[in-house]
Amino acid sequence: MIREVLSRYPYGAWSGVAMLLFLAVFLGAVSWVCRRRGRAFYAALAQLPFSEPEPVRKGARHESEA
Amino acid sequence: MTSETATGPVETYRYDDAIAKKFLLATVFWGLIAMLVGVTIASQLGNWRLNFGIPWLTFGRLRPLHTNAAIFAFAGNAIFAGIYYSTQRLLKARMFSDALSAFHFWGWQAIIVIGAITLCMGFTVGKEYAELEWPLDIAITVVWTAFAVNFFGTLIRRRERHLYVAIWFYIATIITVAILHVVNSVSIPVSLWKSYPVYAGVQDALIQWWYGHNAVAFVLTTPFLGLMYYFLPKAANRPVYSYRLSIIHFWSLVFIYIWAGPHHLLYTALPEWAQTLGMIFSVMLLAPSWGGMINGLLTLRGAWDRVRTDPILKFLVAGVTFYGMATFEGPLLSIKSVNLLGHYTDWIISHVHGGALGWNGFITFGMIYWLAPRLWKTELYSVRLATAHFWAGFLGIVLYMSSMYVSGITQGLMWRAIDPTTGRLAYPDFIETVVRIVPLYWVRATGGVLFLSGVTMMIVNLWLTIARAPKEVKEEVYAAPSLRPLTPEALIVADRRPHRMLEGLPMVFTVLSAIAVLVGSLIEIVPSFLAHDYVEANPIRASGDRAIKPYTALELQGRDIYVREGCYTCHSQMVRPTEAETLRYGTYSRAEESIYDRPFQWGSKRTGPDLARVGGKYPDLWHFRHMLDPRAVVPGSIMPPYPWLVRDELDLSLSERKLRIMRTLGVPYSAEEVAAAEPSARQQAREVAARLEVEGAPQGLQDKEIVALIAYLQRLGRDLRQGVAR
Repeated sequence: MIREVLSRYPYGAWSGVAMLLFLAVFLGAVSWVCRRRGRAFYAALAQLPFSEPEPVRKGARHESEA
Repeated sequence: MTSETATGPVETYRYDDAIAKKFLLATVFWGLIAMLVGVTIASQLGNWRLNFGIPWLTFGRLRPLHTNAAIFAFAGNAIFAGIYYSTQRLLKARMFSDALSAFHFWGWQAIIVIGAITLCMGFTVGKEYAELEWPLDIAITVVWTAFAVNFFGTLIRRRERHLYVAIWFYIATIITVAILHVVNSVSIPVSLWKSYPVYAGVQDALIQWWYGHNAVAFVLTTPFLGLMYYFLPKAANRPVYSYRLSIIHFWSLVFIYIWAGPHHLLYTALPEWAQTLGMIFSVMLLAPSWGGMINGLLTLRGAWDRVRTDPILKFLVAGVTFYGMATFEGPLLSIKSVNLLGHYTDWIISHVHGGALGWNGFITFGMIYWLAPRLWKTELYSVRLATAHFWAGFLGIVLYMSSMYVSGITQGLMWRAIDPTTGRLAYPDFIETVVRIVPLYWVRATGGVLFLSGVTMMIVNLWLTIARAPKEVKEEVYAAPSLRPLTPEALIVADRRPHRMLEGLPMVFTVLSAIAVLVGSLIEIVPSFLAHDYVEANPIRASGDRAIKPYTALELQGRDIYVREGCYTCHSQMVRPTEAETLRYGTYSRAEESIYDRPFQWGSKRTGPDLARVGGKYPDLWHFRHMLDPRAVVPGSIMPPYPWLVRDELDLSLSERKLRIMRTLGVPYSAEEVAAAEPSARQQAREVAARLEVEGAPQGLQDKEIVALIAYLQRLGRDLRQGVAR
């Protein structure tokens, strides 16, 4: 029964629509992420691993962090 | 990245580095064990005598131990070490609960130890990378939940508004692994260490490889990408090349990866549409994967000279490069025509180890060499020894992969070779294709030994590093402003743009990540729950009976022994619809043949031949002699002997319970068949033993395990051979 019901659906068209939807979302997201105004913001985010504060009370630290 | 409106008073805090140390040491220990077992089983394929005739040490039991130890013990502990270290620093907060951290650590180690023991004892579900039995599945769920609570609790208490991309990968890992593990592990216990999956046949195969492939994705890829995005910039001392690319990398990877599981089932009885979907998404996966690789490698822009002298960067750069190789090869192998050659062969083993040793191993080693001096507040004992480790490991991988490429392609070509003059198989005896590659198994084992020797160097180096660390070190105290809850007004002022809001809202982000992985999962899996309409109906014989009959109680017991001994690690039960395969094995496998198989046993490797049509191919005595001494009937065989099957008593005490559970799951046993399970099994055992005796086997085998295994093997593939009406 399921097979009969499913066979009535236009899978070719569905696949095409799904692909267009995917491309629209993907390209939209990429162009939005790459927008010019985001440059400074993302550059600041990339610095997060280096934003560790200095300790206010030091123990022995690795020399590269001293 | 915090704004005045979103921050509160300055608070002091300490990091919990003790938990990162513990996981790091566990990584090293379990890495050694996993690789020792790996070298052992690689050698067993070169010389069967190295199985020592001991059940605990046979290939079929050690291979699941090797894969589970490598994935969940070595890589798992490495992930946790890296996550505990980096999360605290990226979020400027101590872990939410030290007690949960400790519970996570000791719980995970207990699961590994018990898992290792039970796998050696033959307690296995029989589904690759999900072999641990139900009590351990529950334990994994509990421990993983504790980890998740600890992680998300830390997110809530963080002092950094924005979540760095590494944290995104950790979130996706935690959520998706939980979903995969729970869905794939649903089973009904028969006893403390035996259970049957609720899924059967094609559905079990689809869900298992949805899980299996995404165990690669969300245990061996996404968390390691998180580690890469933290430790590579730290080691190179420069920010990630493109943060924008990391965003695209993350979302496209988690969305696409989840669909790719069916590429493990190409040309099987899985419906064509699911195979095609798996193939297409696997090929698409190349783009985000290489986006991540390029982002990692370009992070070293301007610092490439340091790769010459810094072993940490050597490991990280080589690791990312292996990631690129593996993620090129994966889509390539997912193309159906390529898969037809590579599947079931050692090519897949080469591909897997390029990822595991090169990507996971090298990223882990790079992380360990970077972390250890910082955690123990000292210098690395020897940079030269670390460099020697790199080259030993690298050469080991080259030997391993190249030998398995040659072996795999040789196998694939020999299996499919047809003599054009006769139209027959050029190599009709499977053993011809085995003896040809045995020398390559020794090259592979040598590569493994080299890789292991590198790990040994690391252990010595770490030991001496820790030995000279200061004994008592005061913990550093840090200070950072706390975060105020974000009100709508604060959001408008502090984070005007939607994406900035998203990156500051971990729960919303988590839900979106879950949706990204659930879309593909649901589209692929839900149709399989309509199995009655979706799998071709059980054909009807001329006599009016259904062609596919449930296993008898004795055959079911034999099947459990087959699963216990890990036969699926070397033998498939899936004849693909190609001329070469049907010439070698018989009619191709159909979905309905597996409808009562819990778990499915289609397999993923053919070190030995496919067994889907072995029933009736040989007399009972052949199987008896084969299990006692495989070389007695197949000269040159590398299969280990199984003398304990002839020695050990056949335990049928759970037969009634097993049939009752199967009946609950929909297998059409009658109430009478269930009630008479044990006596009917005893009767069939006597019949098999009598046939064996007539053929020349010793008397008194009716109480031994071997008769159950022979009954099962003789059943395989026979149902559809009978006359079918339609």
